[in-house]
Amino acid sequence: MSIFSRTKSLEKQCEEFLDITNESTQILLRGVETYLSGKMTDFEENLNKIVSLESRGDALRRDIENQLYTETLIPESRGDMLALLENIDNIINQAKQILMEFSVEIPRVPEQFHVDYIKLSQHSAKAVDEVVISTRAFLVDPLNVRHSLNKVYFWEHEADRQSESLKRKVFRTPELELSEKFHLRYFALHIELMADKAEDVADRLAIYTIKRSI
Amino acid sequence: MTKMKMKIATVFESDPKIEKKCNEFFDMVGQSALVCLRGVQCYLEKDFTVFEEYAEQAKNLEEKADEFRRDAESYLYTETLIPESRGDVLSLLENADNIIDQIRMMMLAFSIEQPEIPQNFQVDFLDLTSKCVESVDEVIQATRMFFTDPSKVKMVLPRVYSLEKEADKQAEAIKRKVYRSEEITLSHRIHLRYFTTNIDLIADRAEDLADRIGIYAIKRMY
Repeated sequence: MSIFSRTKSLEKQCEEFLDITNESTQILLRGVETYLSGKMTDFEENLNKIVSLESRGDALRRDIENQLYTETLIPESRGDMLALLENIDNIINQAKQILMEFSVEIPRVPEQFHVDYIKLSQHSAKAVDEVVISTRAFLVDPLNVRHSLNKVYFWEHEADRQSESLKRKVFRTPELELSEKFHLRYFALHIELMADKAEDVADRLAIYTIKRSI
Repeated sequence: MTKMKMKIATVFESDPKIEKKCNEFFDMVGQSALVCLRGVQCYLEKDFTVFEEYAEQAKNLEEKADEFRRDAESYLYTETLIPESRGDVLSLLENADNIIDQIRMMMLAFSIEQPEIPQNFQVDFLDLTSKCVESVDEVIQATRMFFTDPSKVKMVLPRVYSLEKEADKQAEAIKRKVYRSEEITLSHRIHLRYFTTNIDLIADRAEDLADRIGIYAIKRMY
């Protein structure tokens, strides 16, 4: 049975929150690509978009949380919903954080690493897309999310592998200063973190599914 | 409103010991924030002997708070008369403890790594620390209110959120300035960014606590 069998407006708001999550990863991808290709005006445009999306996501999350408690909606699962929303919000925050750091720290990324950073961003974004699919499935049919959860774990693992290979390559490039290696590693780590946050959401979904099946 | 007030009053009336314990714990969080501000001031003024005294004080407060929290938690589960709210009280204590942990961690990092803060960044760092400390002060006030009159919590929380946002903005401004200072090497920039992030994290921890209080206050009222 759907979590929202009696609360349609809340369902709509949750859908909107998930749309924001999807949109954030798309903007993140475009942001990284425009930064690497040196299109700084386009990059800053993407940054502004993600900043305003993140702020909309925050407001929407707090609004949903308030409704869950003030209107005593779905009392049996509101604790789970609360944790789920906060964990999804961490993904949006991380996506914004990555572009913000590119904008603040303007890292010099040698061209030979561009493809690696784009691939890493794509794998991380894929993990997020899959966890959004899982969450939508969970809200409609909580017992039927296993298939999509496996895809989240797959893409998170791919992001880990890509990040590791990128860092190995960076630390084996003799013409880079140690501080530059640290800087490039920092950015790889933060892009990879977005996939980790998606995995955190997937872990929660897995637990809630078990709770509901007992 | 009357119904809600009665419910909260009952929580503490039935167990005044836990009220005392919680208040002492929140005193420690408040003190820790003040120690942090004085410590950073001394560090920036290069008064390192006094700074180390504050760092030691932050460490002692953190250890005492840990012990105190564990004691309060075991009391909550073994002897408390407020079983219906102990999960919430527990979570508030843990979130407040995260603030003290962050302050101690940040002071320890200053003590170990002795970052060189250029003169033209000193006001910025002090300003950032003040905003973070203020957000802690406000959230502790909100926490105390939660225990006495949860209906007023909503009035204080926006202040915490606004201070956290200001701290974020200030941290971003510092980092932008750092990464655009040509006389600073990349390794030095990375070091300054690390300290900026760690100070800013204090306000983030205050925001986490504010989020919890907001939910628990609503739970009490409805």
